[in-house]
Amino acid sequence: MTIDCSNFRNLIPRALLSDLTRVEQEALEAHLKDCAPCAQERELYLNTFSQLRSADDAPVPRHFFIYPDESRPTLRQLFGQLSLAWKGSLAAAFLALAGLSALAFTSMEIRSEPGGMVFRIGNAPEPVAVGPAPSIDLEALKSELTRLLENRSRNDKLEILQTLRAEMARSESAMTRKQRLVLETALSRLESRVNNRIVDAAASLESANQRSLGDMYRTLETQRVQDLSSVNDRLNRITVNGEIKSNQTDAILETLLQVAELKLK
Amino acid sequence: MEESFESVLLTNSRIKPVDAPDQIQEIAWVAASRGGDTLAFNRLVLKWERPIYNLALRMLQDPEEAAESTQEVFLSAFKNIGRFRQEARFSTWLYRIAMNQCISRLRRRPAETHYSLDDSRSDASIGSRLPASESHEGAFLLEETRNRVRLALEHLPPEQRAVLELKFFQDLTFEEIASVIQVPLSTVKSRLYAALEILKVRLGRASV
Repeated sequence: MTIDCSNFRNLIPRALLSDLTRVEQEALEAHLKDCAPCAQERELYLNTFSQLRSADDAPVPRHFFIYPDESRPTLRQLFGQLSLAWKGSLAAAFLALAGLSALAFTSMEIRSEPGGMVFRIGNAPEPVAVGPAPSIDLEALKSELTRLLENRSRNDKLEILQTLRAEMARSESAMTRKQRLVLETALSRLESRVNNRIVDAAASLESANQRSLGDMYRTLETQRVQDLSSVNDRLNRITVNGEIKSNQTDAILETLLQVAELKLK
Repeated sequence: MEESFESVLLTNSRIKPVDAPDQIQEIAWVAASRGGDTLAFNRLVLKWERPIYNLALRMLQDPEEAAESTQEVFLSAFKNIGRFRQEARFSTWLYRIAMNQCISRLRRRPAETHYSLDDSRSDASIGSRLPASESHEGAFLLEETRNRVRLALEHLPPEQRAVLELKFFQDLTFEEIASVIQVPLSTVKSRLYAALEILKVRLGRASV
């Protein structure tokens, strides 16, 4: 086999597949006429081609249909079927949504507060001016009532004391020095009692939330009215009976003080 | 429901293909399939299932795997038909899917499944795995040739087998083959002539 034969043999399959130029084809044909080994090589290729082409297709064992239930279009397919305008609109809408979502998430806040967790997307709202909490209202009301009570009690006390002192002045001629001393002592004690009573009432107001402040105030007021009325009655009797004996006056005053103490308890 | 679906499809498909030129009809079916029309797509299946199945059969040498692969090819084609550009022929695109599917399967196979003419497996054993041949006169010789060709093809690397399959059995041009397997034209030719050189040794001296 010459070098020429080697070159021509490479051309044989190309010639059989029409992959040669006209010049190459003519050169090969000329060579094959004179070269038996190359002609035999061509026969081998022809036989190979023949066998390849004789092996025709086998029948299909079944059909390979696609059924609607297994061929649901994907989102990508659906998007691919849209026109360009719709695709652009959808893309713009998606981008806008993504932008808003990103904005929301950048200012998202999760924190715990008394009573639970707080989850917020977006900027924190401006603090709203709100009225005092109910507990603050109650305290203010209590202090206001206490202050009012103290003022009222002080006025009442002063009124009682003035009344008592006026009665003492009126009955000064009828009372001995001892009686006056006893009466002044009693008045001082009464004043002290009234003050203590006010302090106790305020403490009671603060400690006993379940009790109505209004009821307590009305009770105290009623008691004071009763006290004052009782004291006035007693002093009126003293005035009327200015000539009674000193021991009787002592007894009356003693009784009067006992009654006042009992009322204040 | 499946029977009625198939019967409708088969009935229509026997009438429709002769109404219009093949190529125009195929374009219309592809367009309808892009809109999700399974009936239109199944007409394409009817038209191409035999070439695709035989391609898979010659590439994979296993009827069951070839059928499975063919089904996957059509399913994949339907799902991705939105990507198909009308510039190329539908068949070229379909062959590309089928060839990728087959080569991928061949590459996943363990090394010991590569057969040789010297191993203990006979032509008959291969024949028994293939579909029963036509029961006409001379079918035996035809089946023998077919098996011999299949055995010879098994000795080719998948890339050479693919080129040979597309050239000899699917009658594609060199340019179409280059488009299907996406390699340069020169590579297609070199692979093809290398494959023919091997086959000439194995088949050339056998009688047809």
